[in-house]
Amino acid sequence: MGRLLKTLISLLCMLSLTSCSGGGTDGNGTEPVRLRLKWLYNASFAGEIWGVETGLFHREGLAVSLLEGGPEQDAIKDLELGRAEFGIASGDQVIRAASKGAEVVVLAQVFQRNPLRWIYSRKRLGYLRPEGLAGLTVGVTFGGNDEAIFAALLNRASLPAGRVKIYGVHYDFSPFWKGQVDLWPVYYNTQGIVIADKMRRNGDEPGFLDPDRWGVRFVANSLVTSRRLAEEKPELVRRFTRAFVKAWREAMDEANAERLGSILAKYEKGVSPRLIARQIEATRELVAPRSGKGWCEVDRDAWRQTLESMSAAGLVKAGIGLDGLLAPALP
Amino acid sequence: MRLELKEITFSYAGAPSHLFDSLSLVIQGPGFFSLFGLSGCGKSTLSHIISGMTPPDSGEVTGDGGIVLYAHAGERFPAWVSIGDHLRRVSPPQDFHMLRSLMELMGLTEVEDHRFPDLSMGQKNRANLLRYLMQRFDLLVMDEVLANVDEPSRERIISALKERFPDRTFLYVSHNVSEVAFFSRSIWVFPAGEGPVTGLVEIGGMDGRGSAASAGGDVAALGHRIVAACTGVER
Amino acid sequence: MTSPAKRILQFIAIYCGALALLWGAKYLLHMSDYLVPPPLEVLRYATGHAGEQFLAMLDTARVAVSGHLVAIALALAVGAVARGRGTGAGLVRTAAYNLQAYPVVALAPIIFLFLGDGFAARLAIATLISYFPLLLSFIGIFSSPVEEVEHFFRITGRMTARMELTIRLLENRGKVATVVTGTGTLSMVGAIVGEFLSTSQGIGYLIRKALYQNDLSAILVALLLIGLFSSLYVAVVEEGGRRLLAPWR
Repeated sequence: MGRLLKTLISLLCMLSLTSCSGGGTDGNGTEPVRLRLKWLYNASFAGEIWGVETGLFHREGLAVSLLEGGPEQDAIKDLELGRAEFGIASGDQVIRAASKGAEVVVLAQVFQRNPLRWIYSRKRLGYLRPEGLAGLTVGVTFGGNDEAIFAALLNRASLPAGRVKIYGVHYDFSPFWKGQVDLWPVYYNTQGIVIADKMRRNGDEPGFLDPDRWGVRFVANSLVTSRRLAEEKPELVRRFTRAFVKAWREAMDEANAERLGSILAKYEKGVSPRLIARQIEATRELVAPRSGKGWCEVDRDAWRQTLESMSAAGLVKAGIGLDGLLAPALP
Repeated sequence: MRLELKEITFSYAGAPSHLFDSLSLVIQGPGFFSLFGLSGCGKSTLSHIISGMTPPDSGEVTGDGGIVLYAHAGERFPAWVSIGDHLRRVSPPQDFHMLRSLMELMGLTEVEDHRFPDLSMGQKNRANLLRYLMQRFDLLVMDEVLANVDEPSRERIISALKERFPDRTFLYVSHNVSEVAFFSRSIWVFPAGEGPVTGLVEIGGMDGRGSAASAGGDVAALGHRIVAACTGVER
Repeated sequence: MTSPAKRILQFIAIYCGALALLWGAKYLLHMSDYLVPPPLEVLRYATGHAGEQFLAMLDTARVAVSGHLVAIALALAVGAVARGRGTGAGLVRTAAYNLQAYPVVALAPIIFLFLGDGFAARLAIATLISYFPLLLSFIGIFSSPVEEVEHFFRITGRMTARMELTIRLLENRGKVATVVTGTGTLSMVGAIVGEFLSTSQGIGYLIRKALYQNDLSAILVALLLIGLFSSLYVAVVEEGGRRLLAPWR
């Protein structure tokens, strides 16, 4: 039994050691760094991909490997487990993790407007304002960030929750096509384009209800790292963030649209160049800085609102602070 | 009951040589007959051909249209009914009195409420034979059906069979030399030797005449002839 | 000790062992509460949400048991048809073998399209997941003659299709009991997968919600309930089978 326990402990120690690996430089003098994306390769990661493909990271002495995300991936967990040095996580993921003791720091905020919007038929419902939701059926992912965003939107519109019929959505869109659900949550710059096209093909006119337009600010994709890395290797973190922000700025430059399109086509196999171009265009709307703000700037107001929306929806306990979570102004 | 096997040839799939080659045999009932031979000589295969369960490769089995049944020692009753219920279900109601008396003869009355798995090996053999006796048949091929029954009971049962079913034909497949010698009208012996069986040696039996004890000497002498025919060794 | 109680105690022991390992790793490797919630948080969740989770589990169990019963009936019927030698039977066999190769998540969109996302869709998925192993077993059982029992009925001309099926089913009662018991847990998995993929009911739905919120406490409590209900159901099926088949041993 004693031997078994010892073996187990040494195994766990080995795991713990491997999780601490990383750092150092490779043969070319560049430092290997892993960046875990939030989702599968698509236009929402145009900046990260641009930075790798055009050598922006490399010029900062970094050999960045992109790790594709997915439904089961959580960048913040990967930071803690030592499987990645940087990650892309949404605002709600970051707040939830921090509220549970994850030591994470937000370095930059990619989307200045949340890509989550509700698509609807403008032909049937006209131009929809939040007050107009009364009596309609709205799709919401229970437990997802759209639940908190929608609650905040209703709150803004002073609509009691009972006035709107909520439908729990799943990956299957058929209730929307069948007209059982009037508004369906989509990511505006990716699936939103495809669904809108499909509606147009069916002779419909798509509309998007954008919570941001009505004052609901909820933070989406942001660049995060572990507090330990930020403290132990501030210079590495600074260089990475600098390249990251520059990469997004360049990627979103209209002059680079064509080159970005052909780069993304290598990552998004099977997606038509035309669709990629439109996804880039839509992404530009979401990433472009608001007046007076910088590229990828951490929007403290938006973070505060995100936290408040989540607390109000009961998704996170009140009392967590943002001060330690959001890194100081960009270097 | 008359059954004739004409020029039967048979071999197992993949076997290098025939088991039977132009084998002919006539069974002219009624009466009690036996097939005798060493293990693996083809007794059961021939029984299957006689019963129509296995078609020969060539040759034909012809008869007068009588019903042929084949029973063997490995059979089981369905396990979900008692043996009494099963026997009643497979017997014509007008023959229930016969069923009752055969159950007594076979020593099964006390166990009629038992299920088949609860019976002893000997009881299983007897119950199985009994249900065949309750069927309509002209020839019953009995392949080692009493293999697990003690000798005195076996003799009592065979005697009763011959007595109660004088108009039927029985073909008894057994390894017991004195039994086949004493009870059978004829014994067909699988002859000694390598290669396919081309014919059986027919030896006249005692057909149950006299008592087994008083006929002891004759039975022994007949037994020697039967063994010699199938081993090729005279004693 | 009776079998259900024993099974449940065995499960609880395994569950506690797994929790101990998880928490051992957490403290040894200094994992944050975000990665692995501490015991107190799990306990707090359990006490705060016991009612909700228990009711959801009951709902799932209802779907699982119904799905299992439908699957058994369906597999018996289709197995009986597929045992034959005709073209129809061959087609049914091929369809059964091919269909079972599809993961249910791939078929789910079609199921949800036609059955919506309520009880019927969950029942269909629970049924499908337990149906194929049952069907393959029943086809195997129904197409293998039990010569020692069947011979008499066949040679005396008493064999009917019903008698043949009854003999084969009961003569293979051990195999039948094993596959029926084994598929009980599969049916539970099916119901949970259905709830996870779509619908807003049952323990599978609570797990999906917990995954969105990265709430491992909720998942740990759900795993306990799923284990308890599965053990209980398997034990009940096993015991039921034992009593039903007792006369034939």
